Amino acid sequence: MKFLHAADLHLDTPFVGISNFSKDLQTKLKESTYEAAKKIFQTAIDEMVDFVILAGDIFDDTDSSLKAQMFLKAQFEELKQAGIKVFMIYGNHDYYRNNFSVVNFPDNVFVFGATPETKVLTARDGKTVGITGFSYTQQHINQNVVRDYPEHGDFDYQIGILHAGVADNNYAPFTISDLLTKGYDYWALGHIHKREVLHTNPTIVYPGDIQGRNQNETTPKGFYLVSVTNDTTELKFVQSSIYTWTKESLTVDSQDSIDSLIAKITDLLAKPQLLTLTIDDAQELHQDVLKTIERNELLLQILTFNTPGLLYKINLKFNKNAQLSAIDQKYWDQAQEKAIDLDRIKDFDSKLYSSDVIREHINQPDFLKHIIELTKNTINQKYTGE
Amino acid sequence: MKLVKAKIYGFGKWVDQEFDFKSDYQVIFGSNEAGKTTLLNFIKSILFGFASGRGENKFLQYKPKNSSKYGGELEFLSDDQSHWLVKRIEGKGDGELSLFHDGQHVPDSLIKEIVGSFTKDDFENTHVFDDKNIFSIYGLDENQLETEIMSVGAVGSKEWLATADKFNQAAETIYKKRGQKQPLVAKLKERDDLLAEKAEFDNQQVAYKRVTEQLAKTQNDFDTNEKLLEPISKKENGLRNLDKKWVRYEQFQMASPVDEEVQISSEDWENFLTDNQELSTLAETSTTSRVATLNNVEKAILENYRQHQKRLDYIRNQKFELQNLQFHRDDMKAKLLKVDAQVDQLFKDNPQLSEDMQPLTSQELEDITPEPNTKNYNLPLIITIAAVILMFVTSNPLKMIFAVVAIACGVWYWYQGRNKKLESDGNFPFLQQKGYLNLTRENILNLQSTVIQLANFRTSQKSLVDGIDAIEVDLNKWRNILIELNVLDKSYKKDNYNEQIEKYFSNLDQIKARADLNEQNESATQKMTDNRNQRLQTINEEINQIVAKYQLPSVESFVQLHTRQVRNQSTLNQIKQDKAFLGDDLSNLQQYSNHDALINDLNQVVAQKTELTEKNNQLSRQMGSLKEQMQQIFDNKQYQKVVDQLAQNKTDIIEYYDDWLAKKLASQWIKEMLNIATENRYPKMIAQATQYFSLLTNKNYNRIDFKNNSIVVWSTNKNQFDVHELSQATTVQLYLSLRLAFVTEISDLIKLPILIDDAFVDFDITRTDNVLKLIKKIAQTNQVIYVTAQEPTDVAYDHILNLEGENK
Repeated sequence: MKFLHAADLHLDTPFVGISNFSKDLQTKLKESTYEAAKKIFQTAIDEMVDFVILAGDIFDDTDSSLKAQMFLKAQFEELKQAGIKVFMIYGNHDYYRNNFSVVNFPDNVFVFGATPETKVLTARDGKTVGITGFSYTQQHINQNVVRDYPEHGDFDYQIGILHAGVADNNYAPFTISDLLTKGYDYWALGHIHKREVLHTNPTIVYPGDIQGRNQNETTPKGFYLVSVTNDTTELKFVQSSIYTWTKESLTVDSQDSIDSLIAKITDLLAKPQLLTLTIDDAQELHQDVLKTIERNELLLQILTFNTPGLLYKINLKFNKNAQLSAIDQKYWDQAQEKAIDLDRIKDFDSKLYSSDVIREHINQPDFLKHIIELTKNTINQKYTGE
Repeated sequence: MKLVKAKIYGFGKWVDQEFDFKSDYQVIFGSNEAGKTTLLNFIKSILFGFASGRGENKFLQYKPKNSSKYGGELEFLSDDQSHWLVKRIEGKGDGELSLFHDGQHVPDSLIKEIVGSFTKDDFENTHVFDDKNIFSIYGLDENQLETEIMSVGAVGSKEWLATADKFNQAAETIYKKRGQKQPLVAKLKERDDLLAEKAEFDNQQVAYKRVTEQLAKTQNDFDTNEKLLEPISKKENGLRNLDKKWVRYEQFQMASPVDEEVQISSEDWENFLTDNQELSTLAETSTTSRVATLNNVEKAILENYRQHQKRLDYIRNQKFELQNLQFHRDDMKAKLLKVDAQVDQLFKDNPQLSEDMQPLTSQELEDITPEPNTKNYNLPLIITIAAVILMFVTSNPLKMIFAVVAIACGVWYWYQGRNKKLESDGNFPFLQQKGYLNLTRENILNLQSTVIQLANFRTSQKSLVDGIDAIEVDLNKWRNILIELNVLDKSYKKDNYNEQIEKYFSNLDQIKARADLNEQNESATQKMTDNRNQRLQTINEEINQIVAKYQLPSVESFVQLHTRQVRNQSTLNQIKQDKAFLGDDLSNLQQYSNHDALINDLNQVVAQKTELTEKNNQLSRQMGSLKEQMQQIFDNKQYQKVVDQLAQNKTDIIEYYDDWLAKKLASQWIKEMLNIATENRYPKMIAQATQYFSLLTNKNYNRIDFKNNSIVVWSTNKNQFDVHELSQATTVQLYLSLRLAFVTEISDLIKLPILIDDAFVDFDITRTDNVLKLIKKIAQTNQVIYVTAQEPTDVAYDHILNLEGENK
């Protein structure tokens, strides 16, 4: 028995910060989620799998998914021709609501409803497979839905499809042991964009999204081709991402000039990728060099080269110049706790905090760490610069 | 550091003056212009330098007018009881400074031991209180106070504070609470706009579903309407058709029924017409053409001709003969005239010649002369030959004449020859005989030829006259005949008979021809008339037969009958045509009593159709618009653009926010760090200020706070006041509290006397007392020098320096 496990297709994802790229590349980026999705379905046909599991967040924008729905319908039709079934759930992003699905998928597609239910099929090798899952009908689910999943049924192989985060209160929180107690053979998870195998035997896995959607979604993205032979589940990762986001760091020194930086960065771009580059020890650079980078001129210059990889962004990392600081480090450390406080930040400006974007941003788990880094960088840069 | 003594060499109104100061507080009392402010300025100037001579500062130089000395010295007693003397006299820049520590001259740089890192401005801003800076409280904010208090706290803290301020300013270029142009503000606004724009787009699926449903419904409506429209259209066409046919229909209805009468067969009518046609033709041709008839004269001529036809025909034939005769005669007459002329010439040329001279014979000539003259005997021969030739050449009548001439000439020739012989043979008697009298032989011989000539001429003349006479006789005969035959009128005197004959016959021929023609015509006309009459009779018979066939009394009634018949026929034809034209519609038309009913019906149908058509068009348009909408729903580029923009906007907001926040936090972090490094002077200072303020206001206010960078105070009964809401006196009290708290807070770092310059003029007694109370309190740690125009009460006498008294 063979099946595909993919999640978080996020068709129609908007890409940001790409205005430096050529129009052609911008268009290709916007189409990349579709291209990646095509790869899933083509692989399904090529590998003659029994079925395909799509574990939620298939659409990025549920207000306007007609194109994506039409696209999926056409793809599903092709799977139907190949005798391949599709089991899909809606996630928090594309949670099901009235009038959402206006395109009727062919009958080889099964979409799970609001409460966990189990579909049964017999694979080509004669194995009976039970597939249990549920779809989101609201953006946030606070209760542990896994508890409502049935125990392992009378099937040769049972799969649970679940769009959720481990102990994430907003998204059907669960623990691995919750899953294990069900006795299933495979948990096809979705929601987390980073590929991760949480458990083997039984397999609990996040395939991650199928195409990196921003600079933080690094590494090649894809889905799993799952083969089950003699009760052994074997995972094979298949890359579907058309573009791979990467992050690299380049430590510079006072000898570096624009030319030397161009040479070093061009070397980094020898592989196809969308690179977010951090220039470390930027305080070492000459003022003119820094200005060229800050004015985005270096990036634009490098973009004109026909390198396999593309430079997405340059971040400057300034480190403390110990010699210049006459004030005792202990004052800084004491002051940090007082000055950089999440609640204080929230109270900083009520207008800003009332912006959902900023509020959401502030509430990100890594926010404080991130902002401390930024603040330090700011202080270091200023101190260096003046 | 306590100021214990001021020694003025010369400064403003003060020259060579010394003042001693109490080390806790010193009240300096004096009326206006007493020199209180000058004294305070002296202290500032000695410590920090003279004011420069430029601009407004010129008035702060206080160069004495009545002394050449400028400057003075200040004596300080430090906490370790050592003495510091600061001396400043006129010199370069802000004056020439000399510093003495316990009498020892020390480097100028040690002035820091007294003033710390303070500049004159710092000092004025912290330790000097006058009505100039008192109102700066309105612009006083937390940051400023913090900055000020921290700026004296830690190593390099001024730079750090400046950096913190710069971060704060930089942050405010990204976002400012009430800002408009800052990028983060703009981005947030843009987000609102984009969200609003996005909200204007329908949910694509909902829109798709809605439009699909609407389209299906509209299509259905359209189809239904179309089904209604079709029969109505047909009906309208039918009615329009009926309307078009209505005129014919009416005509058809109006047609009167035809009388059943005997029908004239078309054959009969054709015959009748043919006959009538022929009749009229015959009537036209009845008058035959007349040839001109002969008049009586012509008839007489013709009659005459018929009587004498033979003779006249002969004359006609002899016409040329007659002409020849005349010609011959005329010719001869001409010859005769010629000969006559020759004779006359002969006589003229030969005067000796006479009529009776006769030619001598040859013999006679021989007699006279030996030599015979053989000349001239050829003349008759020539004439003969000529006549013979002419005889053959000319036509008949003349031939005869030439024949005669030929013979005559032949005879003459022969005779001539004989005579010659005779003459030659004669003797001289013959001369007389022959008329040659009195003539010489010579003359006679010479005349011989002439005589012969003459003789010849005479002969010719005679023959010609004879010829002419003969012809004249003939012609006369002809004339008589012609007169007899009426060819020639008796009155005709000339002899141009030929012409007259010609004329006669030409006239006659014409008459004859006409006579012949008349004759012919007469017979033909007769024949035709006979035929016509016969034909007329036949035709009339035929017509009568035809008319009789239909038992009609007259041809007229026959024609009338036929006219009726034709009219009826056309009516019948019309009806037939109408019927054919109306066809199946006849029964439909018959349903309408009149045209108006039909039109009424038509109008109703047209109205119905218009309504349906309009609905149809409307539905069609609706469908078009829906399809267009559908297209737009599918083609959600604009929406996608907004979504992309929103995503970008989100990233931008976060980026700007992070940037802003990092700068804000950096600023805070630095300040916090400085605050810690400066041992939390600021909160301590605020606590101190609150205490002072409470004291000054008789405990009316018990809290000082900063809100949105401006000061608020709380009254004891928990009312909150903005600094602007306070009375001027209270504002001054607040300022004093803050300032004094600040100075006392930093007094461990810098200890300079506090200079208060009559800042409380507006205060009532209670307030002034409170101020003094506060001054006394502060004076425990800070030296206060207080100049005032009001005489203070409740102050120890030794703490009062009365300038009036001093000056007096």
